[in-house]
Amino acid sequence: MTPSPRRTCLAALAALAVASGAGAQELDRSKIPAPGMTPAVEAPAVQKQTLSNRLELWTVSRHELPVINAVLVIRAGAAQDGAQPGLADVTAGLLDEGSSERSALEFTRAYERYGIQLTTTVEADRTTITLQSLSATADSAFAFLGELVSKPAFSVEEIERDRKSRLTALAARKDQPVVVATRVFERAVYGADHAYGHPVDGTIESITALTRDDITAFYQRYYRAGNALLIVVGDVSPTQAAELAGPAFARWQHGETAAAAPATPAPTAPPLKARTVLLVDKPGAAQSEIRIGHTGAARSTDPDYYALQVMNAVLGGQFYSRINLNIREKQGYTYGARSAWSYRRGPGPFMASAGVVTAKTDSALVEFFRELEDIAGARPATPEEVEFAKGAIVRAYPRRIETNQGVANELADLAFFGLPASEIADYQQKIAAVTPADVNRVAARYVQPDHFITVVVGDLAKVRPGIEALNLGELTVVGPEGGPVERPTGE
Amino acid sequence: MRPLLLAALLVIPSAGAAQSLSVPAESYKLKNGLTVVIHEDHSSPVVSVNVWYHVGSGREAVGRRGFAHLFEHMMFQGSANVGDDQHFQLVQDAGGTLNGSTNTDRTNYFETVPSNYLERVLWLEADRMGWLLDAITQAKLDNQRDVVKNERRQNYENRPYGLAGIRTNELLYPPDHPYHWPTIGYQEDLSAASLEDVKGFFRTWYAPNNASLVVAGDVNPAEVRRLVERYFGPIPAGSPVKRMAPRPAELGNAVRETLEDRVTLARLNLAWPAAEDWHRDAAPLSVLATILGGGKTGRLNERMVYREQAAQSVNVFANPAEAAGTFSVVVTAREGASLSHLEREVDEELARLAIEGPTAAELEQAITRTEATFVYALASVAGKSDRLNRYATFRGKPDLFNEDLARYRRVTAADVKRVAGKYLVNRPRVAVSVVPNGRRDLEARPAEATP
Repeated sequence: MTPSPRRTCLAALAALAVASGAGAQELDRSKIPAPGMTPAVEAPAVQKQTLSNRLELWTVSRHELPVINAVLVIRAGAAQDGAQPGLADVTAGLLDEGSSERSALEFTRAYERYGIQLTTTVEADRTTITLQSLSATADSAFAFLGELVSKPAFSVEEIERDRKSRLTALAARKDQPVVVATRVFERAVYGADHAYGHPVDGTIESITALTRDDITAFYQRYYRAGNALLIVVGDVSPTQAAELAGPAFARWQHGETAAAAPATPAPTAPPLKARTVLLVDKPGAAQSEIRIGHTGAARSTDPDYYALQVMNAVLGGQFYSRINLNIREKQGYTYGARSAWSYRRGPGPFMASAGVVTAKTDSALVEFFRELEDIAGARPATPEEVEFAKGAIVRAYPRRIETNQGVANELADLAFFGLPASEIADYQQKIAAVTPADVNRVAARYVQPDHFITVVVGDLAKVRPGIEALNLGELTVVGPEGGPVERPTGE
Repeated sequence: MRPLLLAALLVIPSAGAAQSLSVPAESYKLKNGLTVVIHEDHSSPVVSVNVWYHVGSGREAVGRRGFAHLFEHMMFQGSANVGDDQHFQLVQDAGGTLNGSTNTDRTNYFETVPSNYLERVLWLEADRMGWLLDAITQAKLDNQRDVVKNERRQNYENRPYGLAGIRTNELLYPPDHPYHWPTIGYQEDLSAASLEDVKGFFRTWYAPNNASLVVAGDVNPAEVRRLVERYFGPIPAGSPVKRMAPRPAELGNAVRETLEDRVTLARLNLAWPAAEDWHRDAAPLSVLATILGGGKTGRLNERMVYREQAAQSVNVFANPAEAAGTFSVVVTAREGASLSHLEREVDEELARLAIEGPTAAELEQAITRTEATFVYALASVAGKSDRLNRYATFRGKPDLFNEDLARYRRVTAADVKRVAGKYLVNRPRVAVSVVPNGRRDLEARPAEATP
């Protein structure tokens, strides 16, 4: 290695190190070093404002980097698609495909020229647009964000171009076992007609049928300043944030009618189903993709929310959890196994998942069911496990709010669910207050093995007999969209 | 005009007109050769610990390909004073996050924890750097071998097009070249790995003199120096390690191959030998990749995806690694579109760029994007320590942000034009077509062979 030009400096440092080392006590490496004093964590100071068009604006000033991050949330997502799956996703995807002021390519070139990043994501209940910019280009960045949401062109040419791309992607969706498994699972849990029962990106039939009128009607109804919230975090003061957002969103209507949209009742959970097994054939697959679960809990299920967080950390929410330690680290069946509660306005899915080696598909199912049944009663979480999980969550807090984007994401979540900004600071205490009894109560209440829906996407010629022998429920072979198999699979 | 970078806290004012970017760090070596880098940042009460070992899959022997990565997994299975899986347990107990990764050139391990848990993490990293072999057992090796084989299934075998990239490199680099085989390895080689291999690999490559430790975040540098000496100082040095010398691939003739896969859309992988990292052509090649394939407005994207709509997606990568570089273009076709047609379009755009060069606006946009990405990467202590360690490991100096950025700022239109001609246009390349089973008619064929 090339010698560095800092030799003098190095010598001095080495001398210091040796001196302090000599004075130190004999090191006993068998002892885990004790942590130092817990450092103070400064909760982000949130300034709330409401712009004249009713856009809710939350600002946190952080000046470590000359960067501004913003998150704009529209309170509408795939659950508002109605009978047209994919409508929310198509509408959001077209936002940066041209405005009343410039074409799609001109718009993209304009913001990329400054290194500004703009991305749009649609989830079950919301549409999120994230912005990242150097603070030196903040004026332009907010102008682009405002143009994006308040002046989309929805030109016929762009709609058709986008449709072609989407139909191609949907045709290729069946190639990805990971995507197919979750798709089939969510449809089975909610039913195809439920607000949460269709994929965010729609289906070939629905995307083919969408019209420009559908898209503009969706946009007019939900893309209203009064139905949105804006979080700005970074090298900016609250006053500056309002000065940036004000003109940028000046032409965005608040929307009298849509102000009622957030009050639209949250989707409710469908009745739990009897145990069911759905199989999707993927001849020659090296792995089987497994999904197990049912409807979970809504974010508003306070105070159970905190106990559920702790319970899932014990069960499968992190690497050192029962499911992963067993199925990956003990059995070696998978690269990773986990469980997750997806929090939405209504009860999102609870889902345990893994990709497992084909030959161990049935064995992996046995272990999954063992862990899920155990946590729900047979082998409840121990006080030690609960203590460990709580510590892990509580002490992760400073890391979660380390970056602008981290703070913005946390606040966007709270604002979306109608929770106070103070929750970001109170969260640790609420987790710390969870008891083993709470954990075991929510495990018994929310994890319901009698109602598990199990999905396996894999080489059925090899894995089906083993799965049948486990008697995990009535077994059906379905197609990659969760509907009937369209043609023989050639087994 | 290009917007100027203003990096408030990070700026060290420079004599020149351009703004400079710096992450101030002190750097020294322990007596055993361990490189130590410390960066102080009290904006959040967290600390990042980041250890790089200067060994990757490029150092593996035939018959043991994939071993560097399998070894990475073994580093999480406990050491003399750390129990099986306790590494995960103790970092998660601290509220931390952790992982490791392996590529052709290096293997890294990293944690971010609340700053009061720094000593615990240093203890963990030192224990496995010094005393890993005391805890390695056949049972642990067998288990992690299974996990890695599943990782290969998850990320390559069971993923559409998952094997195309592997095949492309096998054809681009000769069998004895360190980049011929994939970092994930081969199932049969993974099966062959033994405990003796683990021990030999550890002794050869995992000595402190072949490693670099970065501590970045809410720390007192003097205290860090004391702790590092206490935990890492007693680890004995190993034999000196010779660096991997640059060895650019030399492709005598164009190579074509077609794979059939369970896919709906055909895909074409094109790859050329290119410049290794820090070669004078590396930055121009990277700018070229952005101009061709950066987002919706890249030349290939605009023509093939946006205007003509024969392609579903186009991605362009410049991958300058330690021993050699690769330049690649990956085009996924719309249903029924022939890859031959798409390949010709790529060639036309490359030729046009090599003759005309990029416009001033394209060049400016590509460089501004690079500058902004540099700053965005500094948002977390983990992002900073990763970059500091990359520079420390490959260049011997951690705070190389400004020099690195300057490479891109210096790129001219003439440079981009020159590297397009030197490396890509009419140069031998690998073309791997992936077509749906039974659809060989979609494969890319040489111009004279297509009807």
